[in-house]
Amino acid sequence: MNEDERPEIELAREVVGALAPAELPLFPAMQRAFDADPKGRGIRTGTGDAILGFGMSDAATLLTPIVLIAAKQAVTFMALEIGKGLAKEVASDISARVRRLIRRDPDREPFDPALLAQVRSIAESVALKSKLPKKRAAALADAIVKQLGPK
Amino acid sequence: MPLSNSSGQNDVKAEAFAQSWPRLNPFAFVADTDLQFAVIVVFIAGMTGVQWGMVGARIVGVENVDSFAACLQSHLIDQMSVFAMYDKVTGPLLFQCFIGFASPTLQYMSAGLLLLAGAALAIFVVTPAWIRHRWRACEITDEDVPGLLQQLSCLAGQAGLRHTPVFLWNPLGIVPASVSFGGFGRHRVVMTGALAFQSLTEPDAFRAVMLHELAHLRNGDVTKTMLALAVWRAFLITSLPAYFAVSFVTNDGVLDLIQPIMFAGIAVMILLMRNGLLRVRELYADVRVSSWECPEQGIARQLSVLAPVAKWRRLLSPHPSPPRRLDLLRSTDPLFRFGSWQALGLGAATGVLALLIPALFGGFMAARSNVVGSGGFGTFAVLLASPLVVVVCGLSTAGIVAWRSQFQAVLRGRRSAGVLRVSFAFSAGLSLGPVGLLTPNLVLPLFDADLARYAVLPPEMLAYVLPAAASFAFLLGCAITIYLGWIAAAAYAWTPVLLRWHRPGAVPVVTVGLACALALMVPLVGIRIWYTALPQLVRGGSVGIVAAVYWLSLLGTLFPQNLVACVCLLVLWAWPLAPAVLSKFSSAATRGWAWLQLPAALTFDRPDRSRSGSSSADLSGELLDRPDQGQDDLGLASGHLSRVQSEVETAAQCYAPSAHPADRVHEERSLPSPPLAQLRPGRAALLGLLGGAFASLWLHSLGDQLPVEIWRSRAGLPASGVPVHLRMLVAAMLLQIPIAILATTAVPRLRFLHAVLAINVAGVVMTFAVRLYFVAHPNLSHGSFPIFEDISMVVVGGVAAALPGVVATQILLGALPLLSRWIAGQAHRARRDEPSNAT
Repeated sequence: MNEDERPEIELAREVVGALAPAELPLFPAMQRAFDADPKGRGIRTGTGDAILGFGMSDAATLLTPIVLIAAKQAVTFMALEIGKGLAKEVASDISARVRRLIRRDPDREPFDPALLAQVRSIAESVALKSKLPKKRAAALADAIVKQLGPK
Repeated sequence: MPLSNSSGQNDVKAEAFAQSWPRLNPFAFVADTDLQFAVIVVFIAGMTGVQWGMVGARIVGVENVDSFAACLQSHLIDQMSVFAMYDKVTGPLLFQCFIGFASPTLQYMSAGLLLLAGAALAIFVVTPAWIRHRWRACEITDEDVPGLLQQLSCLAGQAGLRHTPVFLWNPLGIVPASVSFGGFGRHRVVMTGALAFQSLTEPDAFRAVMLHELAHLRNGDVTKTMLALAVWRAFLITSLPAYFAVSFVTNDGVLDLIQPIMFAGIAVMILLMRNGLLRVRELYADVRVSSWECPEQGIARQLSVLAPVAKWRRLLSPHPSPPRRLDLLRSTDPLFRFGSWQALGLGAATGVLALLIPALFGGFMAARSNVVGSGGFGTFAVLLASPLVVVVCGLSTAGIVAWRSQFQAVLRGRRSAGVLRVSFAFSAGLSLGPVGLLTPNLVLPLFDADLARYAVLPPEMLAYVLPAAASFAFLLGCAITIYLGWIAAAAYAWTPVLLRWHRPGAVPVVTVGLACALALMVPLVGIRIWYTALPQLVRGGSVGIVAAVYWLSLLGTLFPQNLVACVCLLVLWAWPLAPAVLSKFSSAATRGWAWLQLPAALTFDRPDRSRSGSSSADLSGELLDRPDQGQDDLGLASGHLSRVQSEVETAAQCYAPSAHPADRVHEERSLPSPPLAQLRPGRAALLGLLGGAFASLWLHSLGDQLPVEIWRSRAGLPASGVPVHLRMLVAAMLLQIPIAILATTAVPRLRFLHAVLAINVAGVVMTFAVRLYFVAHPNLSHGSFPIFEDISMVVVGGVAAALPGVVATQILLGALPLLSRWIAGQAHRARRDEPSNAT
């Protein structure tokens, strides 16, 4: 993805353009610094009473770094929320498909035989770990595959 | 859009600056803070040595102490006191015991000092990288902020820096801030993104903050501060924790905690002194900025928006409170004053060092050369020379302060510069510092009988020593007052002369002056100590050492004994007499160097400023009318012309309503003329030469009448009933009083100085004459040599003898008018009574 296409950067640039357009010439440099320090630890630099400094000044006069951090957090939050919704949708779709497979619905999607072989192997290993005799374990695995496989 | 609007707080009035009294230029002098930084560094080194010595003593343990006590007992020495130490019999034996006792601890001391030096060096080297990392800084490029590098380069040029520093920034910093750091020519200035942004939106504010940082570089603060910080931090991480850990682990009771508490107090004192110095350097940086551009344009505005320093942090903060900094922009006078507390602190630090350093180095020397006894040359050379160096360093600081105070007094039309107050505060510090350091040694034996064996002084002696120390402190104050008073008098003579010079050379002159003073002090003190002072030093105890050094320096000044002392005396006189000679040479008056104003280049280079009315507005007009000339009449190259023009414009904006500050002073109050210019040194010196030559001839004509008696006296033989010294003194006085009277009547003012100069010259002539006489007559009986030498000695140090002559003359001169007035009154009354009698 191109740097400029990153949503947090785009959002931050829009916000800075609206609130502090004078800071836009410095935006690229600040963006680069922000990439190197994504947690924004350097944002409070110079607030102390440094030796050989000019003196203590606690008034923030620059908006862009704050906007960059806020934009990143906002975008991250939005992405998480969107991801949560998508995950729910995908999970219910998967359940429905599996259910159709088990019920042997006519419109069910065909299952790959190679995958069926893997399913059989998984079922057999579970049965063997449970101390089931080998013969019965194979029967159990075959029954499951038969249930999921084609009629 | 900025998050805060500071314009509402910017109510600094331009009129306040324009109408304020012209400011004195504090950069015309050697900075006293440099020496104070040196004192702090040496102080920390001394503390480190002592603390590691104590750590060593604690680790080595009781066995070493017991073996020391056994050694003392085997030599029948009761106590390790200063009396036993310098006694001819017990001294060598005691030193033998002491070397065995001290050798293990000396190893710890050496290791501790090496550790301190190594740690300080490492911290000094690493600190720039650490600051860069902490600020998350990277170098500024043209791509980052267009035009910023060019602007910074211009500012560095305006600041007059030889090497442009490396400019770094942290683009994410939202608070406008910057710091300068680095060392030894590799300087860096780091700023936040907020400050870089100000270069676009508030260029004046940006310039002010950046110029402040560049002013630190120009003033030479960065390397010194970084070094001092490195030494302090090395002390904090090496010596102090080791000492406290060992003290607390091995302590035997509450009494053992007194010393650690005292050392903690001393560490706090060092911290406070260091931060006090840092605050002063901040003030200098602000003042430097205000000399580069109109104060209300940027620096004052920026100071007015700074966060105030909380009251409880004022002593700890490296920055003064913003209101104080603003006041300093309006008047630099406080930078020329030296507070009593500051003098006390400096004196205490010097006094403690004068005690610690010889203890450290003396121990090293004794262990290295295995010198036994009080006659060991090397050990005692170190014991005496090391405090001398420290004391001279402290005294030089006080001398610079005295010079600066006197300069301010002269320029402000006052005579006194508060020398008395500073002298006694300094001497009180010199006395109290060692007393404070020795308090545990003095007090603990009162509570613990075992400790009394190793006390510096026996407890029962305290009642005698303390009053003696107090009297020494008083004498010390008197001596330092005389010394600083002499410096202040010389400063009083020099200042008006310098104000008339075309090219002022205040810094070199002050440096040379102080060098002369030191050249005088060091040999004299050394001579006096080696020949006469040692016993007094010993008997004076620890406190007396410092006191005696000063007091003897005064005695050495007044009563020099030999050719070296004569040369020193001439140096002493040459310094204040030089302006009297220089004042004869007329020169275009500039006076610009004395005042902090704009632009300095014009006031230095302009040959005839008085011709053009001397206001900045006039100069601005002159220059701006002819901007295209390759080289103007000021001798400025065309490359500098544009910069000068901008400075002149700024100056015109700042000071146009009023006349040039120096001229305004000149109009309102004529500058004092150099007092020693009225001394007519040629006449006084000629009188001294003639008097000395006459006295030499007269003494030679006496032949061998007195020398035998003198020789007997010098050799310690009983005199044959003749009060030789009395006769010698009378002879000297008979010589001096006429010279003093003649010298006193030669000029209307400054009679005492005139008389002393004449007598001093006469004495010097006599001293050289007698030496030449014996060189020319090698077969002559040396019996007559002492009489010449002693009488010339009294004559050279003729201050005391000049006094009766001067007083007599003053009385005579004062009495003559009274007498004539009384006679006239009597005559008038007689005339008035005559008619009434007639009627």
